[in-house]
Amino acid sequence: MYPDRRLRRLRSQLVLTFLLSSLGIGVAIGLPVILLINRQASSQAQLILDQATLTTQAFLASEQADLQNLALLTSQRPTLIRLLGEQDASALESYLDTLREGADLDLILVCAEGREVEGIGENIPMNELCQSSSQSGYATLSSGDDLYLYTVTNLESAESLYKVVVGKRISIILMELQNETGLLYFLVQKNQVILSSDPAIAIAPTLITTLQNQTNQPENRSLGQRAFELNAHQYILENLAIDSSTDINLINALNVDNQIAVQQGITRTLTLALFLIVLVAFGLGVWQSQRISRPIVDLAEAAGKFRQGDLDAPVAIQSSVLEISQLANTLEDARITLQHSMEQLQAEKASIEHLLNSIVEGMLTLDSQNRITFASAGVGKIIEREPEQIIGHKVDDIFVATEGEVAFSNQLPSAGQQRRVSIKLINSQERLLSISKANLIPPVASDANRALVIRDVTNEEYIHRLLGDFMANITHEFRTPLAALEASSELLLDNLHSLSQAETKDLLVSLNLGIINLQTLIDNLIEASSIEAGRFKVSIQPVSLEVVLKEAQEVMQPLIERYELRLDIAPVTESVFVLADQRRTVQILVNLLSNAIKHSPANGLIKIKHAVLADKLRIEVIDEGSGVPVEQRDNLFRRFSHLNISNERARQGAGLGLSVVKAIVDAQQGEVGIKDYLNGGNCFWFTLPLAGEGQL
Amino acid sequence: MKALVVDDDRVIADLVVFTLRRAGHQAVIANDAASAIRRWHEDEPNLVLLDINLPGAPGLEDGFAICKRIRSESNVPVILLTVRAEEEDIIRGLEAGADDYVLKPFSPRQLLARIQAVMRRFQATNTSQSAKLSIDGLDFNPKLREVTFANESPKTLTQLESRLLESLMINAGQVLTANDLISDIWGAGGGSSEMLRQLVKRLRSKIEVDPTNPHYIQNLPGLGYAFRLKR
Repeated sequence: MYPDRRLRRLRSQLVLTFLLSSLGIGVAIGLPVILLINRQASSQAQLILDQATLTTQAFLASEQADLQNLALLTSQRPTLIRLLGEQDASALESYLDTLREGADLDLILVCAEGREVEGIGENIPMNELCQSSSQSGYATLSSGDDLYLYTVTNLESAESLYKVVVGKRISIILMELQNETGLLYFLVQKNQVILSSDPAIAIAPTLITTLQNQTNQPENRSLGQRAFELNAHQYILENLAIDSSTDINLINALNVDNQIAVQQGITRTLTLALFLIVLVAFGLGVWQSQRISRPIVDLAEAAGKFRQGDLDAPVAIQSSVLEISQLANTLEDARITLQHSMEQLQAEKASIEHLLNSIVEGMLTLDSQNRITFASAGVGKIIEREPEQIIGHKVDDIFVATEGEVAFSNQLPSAGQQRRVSIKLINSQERLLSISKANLIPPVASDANRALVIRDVTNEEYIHRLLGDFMANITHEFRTPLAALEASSELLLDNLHSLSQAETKDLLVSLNLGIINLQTLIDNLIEASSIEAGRFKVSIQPVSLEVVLKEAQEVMQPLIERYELRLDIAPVTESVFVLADQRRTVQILVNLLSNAIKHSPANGLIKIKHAVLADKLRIEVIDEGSGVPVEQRDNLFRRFSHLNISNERARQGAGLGLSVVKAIVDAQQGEVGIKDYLNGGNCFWFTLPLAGEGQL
Repeated sequence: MKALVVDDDRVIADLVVFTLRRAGHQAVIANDAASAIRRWHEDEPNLVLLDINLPGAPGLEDGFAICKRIRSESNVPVILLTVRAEEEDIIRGLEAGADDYVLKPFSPRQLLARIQAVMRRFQATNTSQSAKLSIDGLDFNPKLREVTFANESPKTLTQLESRLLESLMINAGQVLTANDLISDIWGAGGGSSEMLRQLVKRLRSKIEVDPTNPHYIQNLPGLGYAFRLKR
């Protein structure tokens, strides 16, 4: 659900609403107005048409009355009567013609006993007209394209009964009418258009159908609908029945070109105005909806950022809408509060994490499925993996139990307890861990239910064991010289009086040797402990090689003799000085000699050689023992704390003495080593820096 | 009596030899494994005093191996004389068939007493005319140091095991204290309660059907050990 899409929909809804309502209002106002205007125009035109029709009717009636009067006047002319009596036809004709011209008539006829006496008029059967019984009417021209309006009057004379008929051509009347009313007239007889008042109009045979269809259209129809187009003019029609006996109708046609033009003009203007109004309203609507929806979109975006945890951008939303403004302010307040709380939480979290990560012990939390939900930096250091990489994994896959052990998760101590568990790392090294466990009451968000505190005690255990082994070895090493002391002193005491002098001396020598061995051991132990404690220091000064060799020989001579060995020290031909700690250098030689004595066969020869090299002196101590196997040589000089504890032989092979030798030689900037010698004997060598001329 | 003293420390070896000679015994010295075996064969000693840590030879890396080699050829008494006395060392010593275990530093007086006790025991066993013992399906011949039970083929016990079983079976049904047993087996001043414990364990593994749930040899904590008479 994306707020953007919903809000865009809201905006379109608003736009649509504005559009529809402005359209609705436009239509609701515009349509009736247009209809009303149409109706009005139609009514007005009808009114004009009605009045014109009335005028037409009145005109026709007055024409008829005029004709009546004319007929009466004519009949009462004395001249006419006299002429009739004289029966002078030509005189009568010219008189009638004079009359016709004077009265502007188209027809004048005198009948006697149903027969024409004399008559003037075109295309008309006079006798038929004389036989007509009606006082007035319309008579058809033989040409069929016009009518006569006529009236009949009786003329009383002495000789006989005469009738006087006068008439006028309808076409003439209609032309006069057209001039009078402005209408266009069509004369229709027996469904045939006989003539129109405008001679320009051609009378097509189909005209009558159109006329009849369009005549007497209901008034409420618009002009456009009612109008009848002829020769590019619009007319509305009204039928006027003028003589039912001969089925003659006069169709009045009013030209409504102007009305239609005006009406169309108004409609067009109105539509345009409405369109503009709708357009403006729509524009306003879009603008307004934008104005309303923009801050809401911004609000939604701001809220979206909250959800993503971005609380830094302030909610600065300006809106003229009060509610939105209030909402924005509330959101901003909430943001500030939230940000504050988040910052506090972050700070607390950071400090806790820092605390957790800065402790050497590893923190681990597990869920009910034994999956790791948290691992501190300490865990990473202990198992040599990145803490992020192990989160979500099963604890048994990460903490792999060593062979023959049950799964790690089954070795965990009970809550509040501590237990040591050994695991195998991915590089297949083994680690011994001290694990304490606490049960957690999980918060809703996390189902971690156990916390483990893990400490790597591999080195502790190693050192612990090493120390134990060291103590045991040292104790054993003490036992041998002590055995010599105890045995020789007890023998001396028990047999004080029965011993020969030689025997006494032998026992005293044994006693002495025990003391020498004990002394050497204690010296080495003291040095070793100061090496281990980091307090080991040598005091370097020029030392005479001869003096050092002599001191060492003095110390070791009783042992050499007692063991029936021979010591051959190469004589020092010229004075050689080395930069060394005298006492410690003697100690090196004593240790190497002691080692050689231990490994020499009976009657063996031990040699001490020396060689002056470019800037150093090299001393070799050579015995005739069985030699040190090559594979044990690497461990020979190692400090005891670095020995591989699993290698029992190597540990036993390297006594304290050789590691002390190594430490002293190192401190005196020298080198130490072992090499093969004749017949498989041992040759231990070490070097010392030679003292320069200026250093003596 | 002629003793073979095996020790790489010549001073110690000389002192042991001196002690033995003062007591009227003969003694020869070996300083490493190879010469120890050589002397063993050449001088045919009646007693071997053996150090554990000493220069070895192929197949004879330490005193335990020498002891085993000697034991494979003879039942001559072997006393281990060593600086090591941890449980592990005692077990290995008993496994190798050593008769006693003397820790350095030692008193020459006590060493002599232990040597005499071991020799006395050895002579007593060798001259023993003890009748066969048979209790509850377990047959034991102290002379041959052979034990038979449940129709299985006879098993040979070491001298110490044989001495322990003999003491227990003769006194079957009675509780013997640890000290009684130690002095019976190793003589006055010899042995230790730890050595006894290990010896009992080894014996059980030879005569019990289920050594973890022993039937014959009962341990009564705080009192001692007893051989059960009847089911």
